[in-house]
Amino acid sequence: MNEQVTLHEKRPPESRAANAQRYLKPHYEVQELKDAYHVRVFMPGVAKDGVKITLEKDRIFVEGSRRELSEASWKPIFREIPHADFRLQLELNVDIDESSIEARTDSGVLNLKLPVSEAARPRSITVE
Amino acid sequence: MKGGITMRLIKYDNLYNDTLSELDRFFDRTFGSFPAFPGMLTREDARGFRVDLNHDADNYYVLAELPGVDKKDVNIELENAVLTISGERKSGGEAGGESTFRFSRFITVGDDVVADKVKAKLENGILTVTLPKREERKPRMISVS
Repeated sequence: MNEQVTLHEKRPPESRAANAQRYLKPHYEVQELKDAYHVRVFMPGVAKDGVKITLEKDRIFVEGSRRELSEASWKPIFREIPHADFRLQLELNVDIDESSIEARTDSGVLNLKLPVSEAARPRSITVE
Repeated sequence: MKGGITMRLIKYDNLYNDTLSELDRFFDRTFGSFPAFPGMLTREDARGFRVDLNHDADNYYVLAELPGVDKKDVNIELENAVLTISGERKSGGEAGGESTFRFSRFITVGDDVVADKVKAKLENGILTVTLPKREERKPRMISVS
């Protein structure tokens, strides 16, 4: 039986309410491939150079800063899109091969491919 | 599953459920209560998304958050003073399991839009629709002679 592997979202230590004022938690999706995890982080308005990915032990921090969407001369009639940057912290409970992580952005979506390290892959053992 | 019926369960508030509730509170505190998002859900099977409506002397500007959406999958319609943005996002990827989520939203803009000069661009998941205002409706200075 395969061991259940999941990606946990790590709650920041400070209170959520205080944090929500400055950063937005982006919507994200995790997909389990054969030997990797594919994480899609939805950050509309974030260009390629606005993404920062940091790895620290078993954690991945994703930061996406978006440039000003509206021009200064525009007068708002109503605005729902928050003027805040994105921040996501994921805790990995499975060994990731850090050297071969792939990241690319496409139309406001960050695609992260996290390959499961060789040692952590499930393997079947044949009984001799 | 037996038989020919495939049931798909789509989580109704999957897209922005977390941030929206926090944001609502944030906006309420900061700017006072907003009017309810107009037309947040226009069809039962389509989800809403966040939009901004701005204007200046020449144009209305609608911004919409549509991450991961291809520009060929976006439909923009203007009828009278109502702009409808709809389309679909094909999610899914290498593991297969392609799924499509539809979105739709209408925004009431002014009735002084030059409909055939409306422009739209999609960049980094943000759709910007520029709707020029009609010349004769623009405010003008009248000097007292």
